[in-house]
Amino acid sequence: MRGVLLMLVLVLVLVLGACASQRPDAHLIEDVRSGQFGYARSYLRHSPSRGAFTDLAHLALVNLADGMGEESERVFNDLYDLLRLRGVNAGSRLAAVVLHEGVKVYRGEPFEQAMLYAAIAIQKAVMGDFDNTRAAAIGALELLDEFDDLRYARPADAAGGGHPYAVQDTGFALGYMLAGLGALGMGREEEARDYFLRGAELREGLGEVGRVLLEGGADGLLIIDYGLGPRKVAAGRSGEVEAFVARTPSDARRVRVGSDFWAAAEDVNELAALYAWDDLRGVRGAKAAIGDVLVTGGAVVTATGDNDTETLIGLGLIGLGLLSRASAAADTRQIEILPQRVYLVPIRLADLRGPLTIEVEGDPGSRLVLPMVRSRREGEHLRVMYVRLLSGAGAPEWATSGQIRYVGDASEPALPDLPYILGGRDVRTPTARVMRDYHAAGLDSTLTSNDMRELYRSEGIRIGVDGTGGNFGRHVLEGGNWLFTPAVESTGFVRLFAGAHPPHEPRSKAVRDLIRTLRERIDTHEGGGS
Amino acid sequence: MASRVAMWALAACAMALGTAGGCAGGPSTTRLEGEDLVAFSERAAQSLASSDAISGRGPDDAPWVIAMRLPRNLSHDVIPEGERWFVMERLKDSLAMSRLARERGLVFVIDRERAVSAGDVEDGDPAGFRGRRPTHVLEGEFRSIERRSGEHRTDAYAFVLSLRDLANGAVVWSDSFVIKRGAHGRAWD
Repeated sequence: MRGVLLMLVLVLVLVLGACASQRPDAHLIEDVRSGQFGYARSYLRHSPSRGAFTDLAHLALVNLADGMGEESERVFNDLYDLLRLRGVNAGSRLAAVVLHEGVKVYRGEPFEQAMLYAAIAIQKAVMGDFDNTRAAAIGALELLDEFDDLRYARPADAAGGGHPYAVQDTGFALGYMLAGLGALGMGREEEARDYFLRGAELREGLGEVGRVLLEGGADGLLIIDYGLGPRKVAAGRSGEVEAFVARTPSDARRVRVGSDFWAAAEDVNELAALYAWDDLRGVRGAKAAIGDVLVTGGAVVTATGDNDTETLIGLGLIGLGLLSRASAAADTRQIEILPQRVYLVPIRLADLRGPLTIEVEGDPGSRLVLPMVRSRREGEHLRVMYVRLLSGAGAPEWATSGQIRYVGDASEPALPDLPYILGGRDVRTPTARVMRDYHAAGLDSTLTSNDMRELYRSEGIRIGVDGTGGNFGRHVLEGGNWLFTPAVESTGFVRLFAGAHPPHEPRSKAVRDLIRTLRERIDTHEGGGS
Repeated sequence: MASRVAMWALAACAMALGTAGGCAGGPSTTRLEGEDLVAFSERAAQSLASSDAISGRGPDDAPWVIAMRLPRNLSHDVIPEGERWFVMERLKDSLAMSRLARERGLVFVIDRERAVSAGDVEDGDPAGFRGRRPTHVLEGEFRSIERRSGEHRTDAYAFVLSLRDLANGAVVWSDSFVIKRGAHGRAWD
């Protein structure tokens, strides 16, 4: 009987303990740290869910870093829908107090929500949708403003501080800058100036960013994420204290873009210190203390008990104490792959010549060389680009090669080449024009773009990611089943198109036969020519 | 006895937790929803159809070719381009499909590919409007204001539309339509 009781208690303790903690997802974190966003996306598709909100947030951040933000708009819009919900956990507050915080739907700490709003704003800006850049960034500012109103009992709508537009009173410099960027993109300069001013009040270096953008000194803005945001841990004897530990330490290191240096626009370690929501800390502390008392009392009763009943009561008290302590552990669920800092770098696109090197001071492993940066499109006043830098170990060869090794939809081949699946380096979407290049490279001239699409189908490769809602797998260059071209100025593009990949391994008889025919033709041609 | 007390205690806890959950209500949002966009387009169509600018026209008047622009989003809600076009296309369809368009000599055109600025319309390629040079432009704008009180938030959205004569820049019709959305609860929890 005692054994059964003890087992029951232990099982309950373990269950509550599991609710309490979320182990760091080492796989996801390592993929993101090393820039392997294609693998990260594949991993997310097949790993167990961490809740709808966390899953969407991770997928959005990975796709944005992979240069596929525009193609994943649905992910960002769905995430925005969730962010704008109110009262999600209103019905579970009491249960969270009595049982454990794990009963609540996890929807991020306020600083995580603000950073996700910022990610949505960036995704819209990269698309050139400045109306919604502004709206999403204002969403972040309103959230934090409201959060401060409630926790500091500030009167709502009392903020403003002499700012006609940037009326929200927060410590989120990036939010103000993105709201200003959106306003500027919409042609609302006065509003943009006001938001930029607010940003500069929080971070001195941002004054220059706003000035350059407002005075037309730049027609491009490079948004750079670096490092990993803080890890949430359960500290204290029973894990009852929610704390954040820096994974990438805060410091004043600047980013070098070309020959210019720029200070960070946001530090997520600092943001976490400002905007974490730990309303149950007192409850958890009380539960831990009660647990200690019950365990001690139970131990005394068990040790001094004269009969089985008293021993059982003692064991019961110990069990209750352990349960109370287990339920006191802080909820360590979190968005695992937020950056530690964000840089905003104005750029004159017309002045760029050749590859563009980006590197955070003191971290050669962060070096990323963009082989090409497109100029503005017609009618485009301001172009926004986004990269997520690597961190930690030395930069991989693909990150620093600075040369485009494969041809995608964003570039033209210097010389006609064969499709990658047939032994070449071309991964463009097959069209009549692309087929002419393939024919010039030696492909049978009777082969049409439809035939080429059929070959991709026979290989199990899907062309484009339309209709996937941002939930697609790895590129064919990485051994996956998808053909797409990320935004040219993204880390994803550099990894795919500036890296060296092993040759494609044919999966279908049709492709194997075609490769054999091509080889025979080349051998004959070379033999005839020698 | 002890087990009976424990049972009652558990039942009380369950009732308390259940009641707390039930009283709280579900999540809510102040975002614009699909039905709001439909309502905007329908109200705008009614207003435009009954306006002096339109009702005074006859079938023999020179046709108005009305270019419809993508509405700007000055609200604090993310409204994807597709949804903004949805409002304009619904508006166009409800007007263009009616007898009113024929009787009043109205032609509506939408060009998704180009940014239809006034300058573009005058100097641009008419083929962008399927060969019809616009005489008017219909411009829309979403605006919003938000108010908070404790954990309650209300957003008032206005859809502002104006019809402008491209020959002289005069606004021949304008109207605005308001929808309010309220939601309760913490935004961050």
